[in-house]
Amino acid sequence: MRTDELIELLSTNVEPVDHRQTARSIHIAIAAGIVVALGVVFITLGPRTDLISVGALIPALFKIAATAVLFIPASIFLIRLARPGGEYRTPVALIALPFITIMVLAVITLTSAPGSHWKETILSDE
Amino acid sequence: MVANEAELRSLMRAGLRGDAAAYRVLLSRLSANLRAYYKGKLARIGRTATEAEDLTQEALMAIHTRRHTYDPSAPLLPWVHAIARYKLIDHLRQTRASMSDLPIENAEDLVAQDDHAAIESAYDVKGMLNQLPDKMRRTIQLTKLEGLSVAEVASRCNMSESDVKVSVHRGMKALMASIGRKRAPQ
Repeated sequence: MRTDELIELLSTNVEPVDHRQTARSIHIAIAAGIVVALGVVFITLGPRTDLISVGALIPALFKIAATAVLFIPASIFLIRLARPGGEYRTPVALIALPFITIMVLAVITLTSAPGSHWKETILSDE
Repeated sequence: MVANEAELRSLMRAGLRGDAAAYRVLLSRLSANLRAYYKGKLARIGRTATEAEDLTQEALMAIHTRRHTYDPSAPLLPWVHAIARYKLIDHLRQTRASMSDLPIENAEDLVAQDDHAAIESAYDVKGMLNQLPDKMRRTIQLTKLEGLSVAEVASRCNMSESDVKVSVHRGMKALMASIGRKRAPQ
C-alpha cells in the first residue's frame, strides 16, 4: 500500500477526539486507589479515635504530609509520562521535592523537641 | 522551525476537532518528515527504503490511533518524535539491531528534512483488512474506504453510531497489531 493511500484511509471521516481521556482515566484510577486504600485501612485497623488529641494529631499530619509529597509528584509524573513525549515535559527537579520536604519535616520535628530527646525522636518507633 | 511547529500544531488541533482536510494535510506533511527521518536513520545501518516506508506507515497509524494522548497545550513535535522513536526502537529490536548503532537525536531532527518520494510499502493493509472480523472490516471499509458518514454506516449496518465508532477504533488497533505480527521475526 502506498503511504498516500494510507493517509487517505486514516483521514476519511475522522472523528473528533477527546484529548482529556488519558488524564481522566488516570484521575479516576488515582481516586479509586485512594478510596480503596482508605477503606482497607478503616476495615483492618478501624477508626483512629485518638486523633482528637494534639499529641496524636500532629504526628499523623506529618505522616500524611510525607505520603502526599511522594504521592503528588508521582501522580504528576504518571499523567505526563502516559503521553508519548511526556518525558520531555517533566522537570527532573520534581524528583528532589519529596526528599527536600522529608528533610524539612525532619528538621521541624527535631527543632520542636529539646536536644536531649533527639536520639529518642530519631530512633523511636513511637 | 518555529513556524513549522506552530503550523503542524494548528493542523493537529483542527484534526482533533474532526477537521478531515486539516488532518489529511498534517499526516501528509508528517509523512514526508518521517520518511526522511527513517531513511536517514536506517541508511546508516544499511537498511532499505522499503523498511523506512513501512516504518513511516506504522508511525502514521500510531499517530492516528494514539492521537487522544496528544495534549493540545503542548508542542506537537516532541509527541510525534517520541512515537517515531518508539517505532524505530521496536523495529531495530525485532530486526536484531540496536539503537546504540544510531546517534542520539532530539525532536527537532524530525523536521530537519522532508522526503516526498513515497514508494510502495511492504504492508498490504487492504489484505490485512480482510482478515479482521466482519463487523470491524465492514465498518472500516464503509467509513474509511467508501467515505460514508458514521450515521449512514450505522443505518446501513443496523448498528448504533457509537457502536460504529467503537468498531472502527478497534479495527484500526487490530490493523496495527497485524502489522506488528507481520514485522516480528518468525
